[in-house]
Amino acid sequence: MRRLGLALAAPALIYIAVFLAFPLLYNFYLSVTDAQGANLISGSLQFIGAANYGTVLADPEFWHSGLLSLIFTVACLVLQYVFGFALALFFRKPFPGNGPIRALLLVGWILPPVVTATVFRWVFDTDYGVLNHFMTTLGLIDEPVRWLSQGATAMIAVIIANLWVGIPFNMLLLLSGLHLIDDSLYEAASVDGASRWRQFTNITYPLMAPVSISVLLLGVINTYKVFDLIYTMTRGGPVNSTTTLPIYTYLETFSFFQFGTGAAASALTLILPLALSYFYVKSLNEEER
Amino acid sequence: MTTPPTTPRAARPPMRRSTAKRSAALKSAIAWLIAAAYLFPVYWMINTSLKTGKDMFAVPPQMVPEDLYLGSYAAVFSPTYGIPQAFLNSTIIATSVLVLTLLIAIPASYAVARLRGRVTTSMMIMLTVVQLLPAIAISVPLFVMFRQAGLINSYLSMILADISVTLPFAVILLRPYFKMFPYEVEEAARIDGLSAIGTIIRIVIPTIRPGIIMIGSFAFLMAWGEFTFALTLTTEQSIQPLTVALNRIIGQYGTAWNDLMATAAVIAAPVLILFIVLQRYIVAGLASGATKG
Repeated sequence: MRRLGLALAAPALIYIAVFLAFPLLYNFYLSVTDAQGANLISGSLQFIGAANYGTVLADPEFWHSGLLSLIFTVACLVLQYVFGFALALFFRKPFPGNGPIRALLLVGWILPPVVTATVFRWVFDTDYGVLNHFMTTLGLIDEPVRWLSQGATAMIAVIIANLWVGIPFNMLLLLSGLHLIDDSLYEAASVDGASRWRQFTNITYPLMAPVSISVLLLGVINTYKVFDLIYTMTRGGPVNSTTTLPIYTYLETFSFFQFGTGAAASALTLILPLALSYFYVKSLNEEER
Repeated sequence: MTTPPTTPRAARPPMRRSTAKRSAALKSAIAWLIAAAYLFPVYWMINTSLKTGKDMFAVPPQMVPEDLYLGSYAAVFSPTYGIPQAFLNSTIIATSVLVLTLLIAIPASYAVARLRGRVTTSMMIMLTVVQLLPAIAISVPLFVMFRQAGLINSYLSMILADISVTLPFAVILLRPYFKMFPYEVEEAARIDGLSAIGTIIRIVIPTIRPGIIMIGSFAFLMAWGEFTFALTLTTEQSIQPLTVALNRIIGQYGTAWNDLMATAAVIAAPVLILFIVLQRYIVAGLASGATKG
């Protein structure tokens, strides 16, 4: 039986060893060499110790990227959780059209991020973008906002585009959590005269704590690693104002083909997800028991 | 969210039912409004893709295209932007990823569900962790590896890289299906003379078909929309998939929004069709699998 298990898992194990485990270790190796476009094929890489890490850590752009990653992740995380939760509460009870509408809201999640980013680039266009048109019509702005061509608003724009993807996903996860709460609890509470708000704060929210934690944990990880959406919308610009850590790693590595420093940047980018994955695996194991 | 204040608890049952009905109708109306607002960007993509070069810059924007113009789709399907080739590339890559993911993930999921040992347990942990890592961080060493192997600008490098995304997802989602399958049935089949492998192929797999359709469609959709690996592992236009092609023509033809939206719509179309046809499987998978990883 043991042997059958190994035999069945063998293709996956070989794949994981060659294309996942090895590249991760290889990345750490590259990060302590002088690998670049030229000496890559010849393979004559020199060991240079922690110099690449020194280069990256001394680069103010790296710290700036870390800050941008923090802003992007926290803003998306909070907003998609709040809106996702509100929508999940709204969709908890059946009403006509509930199922199909919920499925429609998932369209944003299922579309390729590059497509989403392209559409949002057009929506956020300064002169002809439909968002500026709506905001002008509603009297919210007097002159067009130059969304993607100035730093602060470019960050807001990529956050909004990412929320379009993240909110329905959070809603779906939180909704499946809400469905696990026994209806009789609410019936008992309303017999006792508890207001809707009291029911939410005393029943729904505490019972949703485990689901909330896993949704937020997954949210941090998934938001932190967003690359395609931001890159397609802004290329990290204008003037590095949306260069989050994954974008920084990409630009460091592939614009100058400095694979050594790129690998160091990538290794530093991996610290947060690796640390969080420890908690994530632990929470899954507890669920298992 | 806004629900009308319900009548006090003392209200008589018949009246209560009619308010409940009205509140459900109101909720339904609000929900349709939310969906309409939410899907507006998708509408705007299709709307713009059907406008002439002049109409797309009309002020105020035309909420419905005045002249229905199909020229952008003609441009997309002509070699101008290299989209037909990219479409073919995407199809080859996504189909290969789908087949390979199924071939690797099905036996592996069975192993982690049924024949748990130290190796399969650590494989499960490894897959869970890998799923959380940024693609760009893996693509740096993968680029170097594929460069040394002479595999930059090949389908193979993109296919192998994409599996690093689909495989963890597939195994994590498929494992519960194998776990739920009653072991007694497998034992009975084996007593009837089927081999262990024969039992899996002839008895277990047909029963858990929904799970297999689900991970198959996920593998295809993920590979179809994949961008990071395709961007980093290719330099030649002739081998690049649709996502990279779209990204390239944004840079080259940044203001041809009708053509860009038509391209986006062509990339989105198979995704939306697959989603509509297989919605039942996909949503179920999302809801059950995502909480688990």
